[in-house]
Amino acid sequence: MIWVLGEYRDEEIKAVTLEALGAGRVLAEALGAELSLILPGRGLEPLAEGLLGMADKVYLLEHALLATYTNDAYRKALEDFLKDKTVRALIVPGTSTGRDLAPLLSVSLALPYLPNATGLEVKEGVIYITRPLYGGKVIETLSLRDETILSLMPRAFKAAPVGKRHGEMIKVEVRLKEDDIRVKPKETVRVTERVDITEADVVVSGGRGMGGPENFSLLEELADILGGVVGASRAAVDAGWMPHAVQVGQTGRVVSPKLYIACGISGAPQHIVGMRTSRYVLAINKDPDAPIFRMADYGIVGDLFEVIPELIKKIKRIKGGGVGSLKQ
Amino acid sequence: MDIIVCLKRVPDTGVEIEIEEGGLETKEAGLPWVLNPYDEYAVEEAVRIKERFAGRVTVITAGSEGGEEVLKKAIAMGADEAVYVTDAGLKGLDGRGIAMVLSRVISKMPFDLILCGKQGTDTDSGMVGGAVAGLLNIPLVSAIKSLKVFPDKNHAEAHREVERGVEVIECPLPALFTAQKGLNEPRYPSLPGIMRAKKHEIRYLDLSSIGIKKEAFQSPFNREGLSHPALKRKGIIFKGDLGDAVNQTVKFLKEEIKVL
Repeated sequence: MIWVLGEYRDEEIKAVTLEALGAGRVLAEALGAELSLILPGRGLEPLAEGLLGMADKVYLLEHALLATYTNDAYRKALEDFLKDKTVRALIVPGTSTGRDLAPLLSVSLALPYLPNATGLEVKEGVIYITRPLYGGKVIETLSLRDETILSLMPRAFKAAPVGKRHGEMIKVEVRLKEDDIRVKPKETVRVTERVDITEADVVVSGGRGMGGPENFSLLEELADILGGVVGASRAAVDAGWMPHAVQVGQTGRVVSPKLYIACGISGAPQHIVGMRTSRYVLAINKDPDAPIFRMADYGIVGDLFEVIPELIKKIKRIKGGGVGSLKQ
Repeated sequence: MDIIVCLKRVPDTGVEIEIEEGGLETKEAGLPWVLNPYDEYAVEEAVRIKERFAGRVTVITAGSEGGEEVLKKAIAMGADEAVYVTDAGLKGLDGRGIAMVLSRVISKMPFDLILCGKQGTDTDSGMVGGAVAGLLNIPLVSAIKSLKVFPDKNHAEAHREVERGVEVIECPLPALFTAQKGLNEPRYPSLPGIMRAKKHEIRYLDLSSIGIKKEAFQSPFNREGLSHPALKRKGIIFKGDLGDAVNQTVKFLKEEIKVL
């Protein structure tokens, strides 16, 4: 059996779960197994209803104590549910939730955990996985003969197509008590309403060449008209210009947008590994020898404070006088 | 407070990684090794808590070679004791195996708090901290950006980084926290610290002394190969006339990349 642990936000399934269902279907078909989705939470029927075209079974682990994610409650509920099931692969979300939970599940279920898969293939009943090492400087291929917990790199896999509604919805009784939960969230402070940088189609990043925090508004404007979000290099984050949550690179996030625009970023190896999987790269830099140009599909050698306003002006003209943004 | 910090050595993030002939191992000889950057935040936080509330910071690492350097770095930053589990049987061990070793050692020590880096910058697995918490069955709070401890109440409050925001978390102690960048600004070791680290005696352990058999660590994965990522970039670079460069770029954005 191939299992996917679903993640949702504001009653909407997350893109990472659709991608996990897409990858899970490939595994399930190649191994002749069923694809099952697990949704922990409360009041999940409407959400599950929309996913019956993508999974063969959708298990609802409903309990008031699962309404908000806590690793203690999720761990216990999933351990109780999965301990007597066959698990060829369990795909957990490649998000803060999955990264928090997976090592605990690995211990509870006595299964190994292999995070950050960027490729999946089945040959003669053996699952082959590729994943980045050293932040993506090296790609490793591994074979797994046994059961395992996996996570996928966001945007590395195609989302499951919406198939004919065929799945079965199954409610599972969950036993949890207040005392099971030791780690309790008091509140969640939303820092941004924007799309998470790892989920964005367009990322416009600034580096040391931005000169100061005040100049990032220029990148905000460019990102807005392209329907994207703003990122930053380590230099810009370490200088205190931008928060770490948007740092692209080895000690920040790995992003794979459709378009990555690097502005005033020289292209140190630790930055390159955070953006090298982008579909297209546009670089803007004063220094014609900056290593970032070796990573670029298109590059403009010039002063970004001249190039970007000009770029914004022309894009607005094409889009008809600067009407609104294309934000999802 | 008794605080334990788990450490790992990793190649400096600034260098390229070469692959050995045969394509199954990375070249390790000559690499500049450093204390994992996330572990540095963990050490700094532990030392700050000790400075505030008094107590003792013990750092531990497990591996087949080179652990002394990272332990000494932590001692130079202000840690008090260093434990090195080293054994040829630890070579190539995955995070679950390392967590088994560390938790076995830690379970025989007094502790109120365990700190780890949220992941190593080599494999980026983020397995060890969470698995140690799981094996010791203590609360886990991962990827924290701030930590407040209340030793008299056996209680802690942490800010944990999540997508689009921050979660404020409460938990009882003892507990394990994994450090995210931003938790603090690690200090540079002081000269007296460096001198102390030079003289400090590391406590050595091996697998048999902690009662674990090598056979317990059958890797569930077989490495089939290593490669460098293929780069296929167009490399069209505009110099000179700004207006022309921007016009061409906008054309690509519209017609080829199709974001307009």
